Amino acid sequence: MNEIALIQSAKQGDLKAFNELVLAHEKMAFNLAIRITNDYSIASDASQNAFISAFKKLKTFRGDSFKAWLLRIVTNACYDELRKKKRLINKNLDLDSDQEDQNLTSKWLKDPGESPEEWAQRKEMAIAIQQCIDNLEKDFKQALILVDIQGFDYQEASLTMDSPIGTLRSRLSRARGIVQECLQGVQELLPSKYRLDSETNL
Amino acid sequence: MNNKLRQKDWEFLSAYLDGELSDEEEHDVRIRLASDNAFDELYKKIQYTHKLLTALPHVDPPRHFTISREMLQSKWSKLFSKSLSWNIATAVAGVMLVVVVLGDVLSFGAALEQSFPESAFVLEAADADFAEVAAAPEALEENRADDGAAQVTSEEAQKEAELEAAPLAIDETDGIEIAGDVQEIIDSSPGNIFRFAEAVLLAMVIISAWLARRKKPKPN
Repeated sequence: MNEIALIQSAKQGDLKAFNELVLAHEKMAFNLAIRITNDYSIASDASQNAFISAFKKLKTFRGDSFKAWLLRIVTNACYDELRKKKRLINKNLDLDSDQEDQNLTSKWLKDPGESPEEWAQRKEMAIAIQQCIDNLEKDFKQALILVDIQGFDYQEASLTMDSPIGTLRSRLSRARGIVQECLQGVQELLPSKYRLDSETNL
Repeated sequence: MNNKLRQKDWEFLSAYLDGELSDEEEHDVRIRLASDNAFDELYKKIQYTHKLLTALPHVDPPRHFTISREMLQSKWSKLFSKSLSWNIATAVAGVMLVVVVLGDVLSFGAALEQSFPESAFVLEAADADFAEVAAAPEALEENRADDGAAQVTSEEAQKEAELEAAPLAIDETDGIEIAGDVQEIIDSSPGNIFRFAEAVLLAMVIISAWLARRKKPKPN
């Protein structure tokens, strides 16, 4: 059954059809949530709440882009969850914290094909980047995550953010500028492979 | 990004990188990249940042986020979920138990009088019977004195025998009746009712507390 048919069935209350949509989009939703929250537990709760909310609101979906509509709900759920738990994203970036294992950076970087040194370097880099992303304002962060990390084109990203393409373009360029400046500030913390002066290594 | 021109440059280069410029704008950017070193340097920085960001791997969710009917329950229906209902039942039964125990301890006498007013009639009736019995020998003597000549007729003898036998008859009949009534009162006294209620409520508290403590299965 294709996505449109699944959506129609789900609109009639077919939970099984909706769960097929969930399985198709959960990875994307969770990745957006974890980039926004930088916390496994909050991202997980936000994703779950977003899908529940999406099912309840499905009748309001008019058929532009299910992915964009869903990710808008995920984004809102993330900020709701962050507000609810009154946690600051930056707190999780403390490497010495006992909760380090809860931090996404220690989990998502595991690649069985790489050496421990490579893994450590990628981990450092990911922590530095995530720290820079966390410092962005909400709208800048969302634009950056959607385009640079999720790989959305401007059309999809603007639909998800419910804002014009021109606004998205402006936000994205400013977000990239801020992150670039932030990364310059932590150049010495980045593994040599990932420094700007050796960008050809990337 | 400190001046307007630079911000606009960032915006154009950023969109150029993503292939989101019109053909004309793209052409303009290409010409400027070839002629302006600062512009080209800025483009390389944007490219670098973009590459770092896209190099971040995607992470698998820790679990599936499929939903069940139970998850769709409203807050109110969750509030009155089974577990909570049993908690409420425990609390209510507990409060009732306390009330009943207090009632048993503090107001047994008052409850007895209010609940069984007929017991007073029975006791009054018993008092009257005993008074009649007590007066029987005196009535016999009075009767003998009235007749004077100590001639005792057969009727008088019969009456005398009846009066003499009266206390025994009362003991055997009314006494048994009174004793039966009191026993009935004792058997069905508020004290026993209280104790029965206490036992029932205590059982309710224990059962509902046990049911409330039972863990609900976690979704997924």
